[in-house]
Amino acid sequence: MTTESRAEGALGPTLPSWALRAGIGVAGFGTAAAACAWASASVFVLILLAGLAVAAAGLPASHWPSVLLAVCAVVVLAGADGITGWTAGTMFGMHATHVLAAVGAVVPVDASVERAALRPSLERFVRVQMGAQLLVLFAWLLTRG
Amino acid sequence: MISSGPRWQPTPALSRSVLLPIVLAGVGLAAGRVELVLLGVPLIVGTALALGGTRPPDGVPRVRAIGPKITDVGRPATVAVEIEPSEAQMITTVLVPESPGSLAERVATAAPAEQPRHIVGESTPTTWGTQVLARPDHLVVGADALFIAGPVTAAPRTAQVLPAVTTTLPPGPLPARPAGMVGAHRSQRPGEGTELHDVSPFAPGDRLRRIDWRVTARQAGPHELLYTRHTQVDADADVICCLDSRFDLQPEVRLWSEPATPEDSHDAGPRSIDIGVDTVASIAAAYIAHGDRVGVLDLTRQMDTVRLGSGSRHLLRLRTYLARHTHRPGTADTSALPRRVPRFPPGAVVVVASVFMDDAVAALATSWRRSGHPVLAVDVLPTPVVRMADPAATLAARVVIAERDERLRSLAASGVLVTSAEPAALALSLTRLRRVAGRARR
Repeated sequence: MTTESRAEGALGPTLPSWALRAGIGVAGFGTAAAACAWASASVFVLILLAGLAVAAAGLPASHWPSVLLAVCAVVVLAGADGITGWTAGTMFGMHATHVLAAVGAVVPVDASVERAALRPSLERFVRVQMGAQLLVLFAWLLTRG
Repeated sequence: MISSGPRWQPTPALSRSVLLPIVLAGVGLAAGRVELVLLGVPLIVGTALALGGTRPPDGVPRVRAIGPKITDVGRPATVAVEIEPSEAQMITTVLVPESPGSLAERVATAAPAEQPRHIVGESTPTTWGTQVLARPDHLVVGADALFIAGPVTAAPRTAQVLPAVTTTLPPGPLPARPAGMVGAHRSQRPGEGTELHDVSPFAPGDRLRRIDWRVTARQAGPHELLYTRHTQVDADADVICCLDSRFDLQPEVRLWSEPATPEDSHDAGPRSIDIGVDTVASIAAAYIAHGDRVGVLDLTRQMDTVRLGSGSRHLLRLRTYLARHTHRPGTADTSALPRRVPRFPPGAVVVVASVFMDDAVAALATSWRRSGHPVLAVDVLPTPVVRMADPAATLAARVVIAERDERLRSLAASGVLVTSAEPAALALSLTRLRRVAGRARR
């Protein structure tokens, strides 16, 4: 077996599963923080959302990520007023939480994930976010104008 | 090739990415809150991009393990997990374990789009028999994990793991009666061969080319005698390796009643059946390397033997037989030894590998010895460890072991050469068997 063929048969660089779950937790908490800041929600709501973020990170294959995003939307509905800078942050966080939870749901706790396997999702995420952030900016300009 | 087994199924992520934007858009439009509509836009656009305008990908790729069909104990076997090209984004699969039966790593890998992908690993079997080298159970994941197919239980990749030739043993002993007129062993029978037997005066029947002119020149005096060199016949040995597979015992005596599993072999050291199989393989390899003919007889399967043969292909046949047909007895196995003593070619060397836990196998070995066969009894029981809480059980175990020791002493007294399976002792015993064979001829 040549060196080249051995390299072909090898696994690429990997990430441990906990890194993916930590990413879900961070994205979920960031979304919660942005939503609370946008809606000027109480600390109690932030703690509740943080708990949901932990649940989403622990059980990404369940509906906890959906519950987290839905509650964030309810918080925004209840308290937010117009499009601000937090709108972009909340939108970014919701999308990141959704994508990370979707991928984390199919990676078992004791498994690792090849970085190359995440690349298509990352590329789509970047493309969508570029358009979405421009859309928020456009909407903000419209509401200001 | 795309298999039609598992089907694509939506995940909670798909329902989240579709329903949440719809609800947000509905509420946002109803309440006149455009920011709620905006929150759902990335999710629905990302989903549309991931699905590419279609529902799930066309087919589910097949994942399988490829590797050798035959391998040796202790030799790393290169095994690959092959993933066929597809539209999937990633495959969460079980990789090749370090050894059959051990826990394998699970990895979510990138799925290939055009060419099949191979993830190569090495699996080192620790015991003989039919072993599963890899079983790549897997889950196929579509773009952004919106659809999945599986988990799929993959077909196991099995291989015949041949017993290792663990020790290099010296050439076997001289047969009591040569099996042929050619071979590698030096017999004591005068005839065509290489080893000098004697130099004597020329007699009718001697061949002229056998005249030793130097001796003739030195010895010839007034009588003018011619002297001829006489040599000994070179001969083959017939060797029958008998394996007693009725018992499979491990060092811990308290576990002797426990059922055996192949995984136990690398947990608590080799079991008696492993030592027996390795011993038979090693002895067979030593004799076959010397050009002799070797056969194998499982004493519990008298009708299913490997007949005498020689050569490397025959050695492979013997090892394959041992790997495929030697079974690990359970606690309820009641296999019996043959009632009638199997008959072997005259003068064949008989090697009996057993734990000698009962008199039946000892009686067989003694019978063969009385028939004139050089018999080597190889004790394959690992050194027993008696550690039991119950004093009565400890006493019983010691009685059983003492009876076994007495049985081995009786065997030795009846002319059977008894040895342990430890390589150095085995090599020494094979050398000593040469002398036993010599006595048998006289």
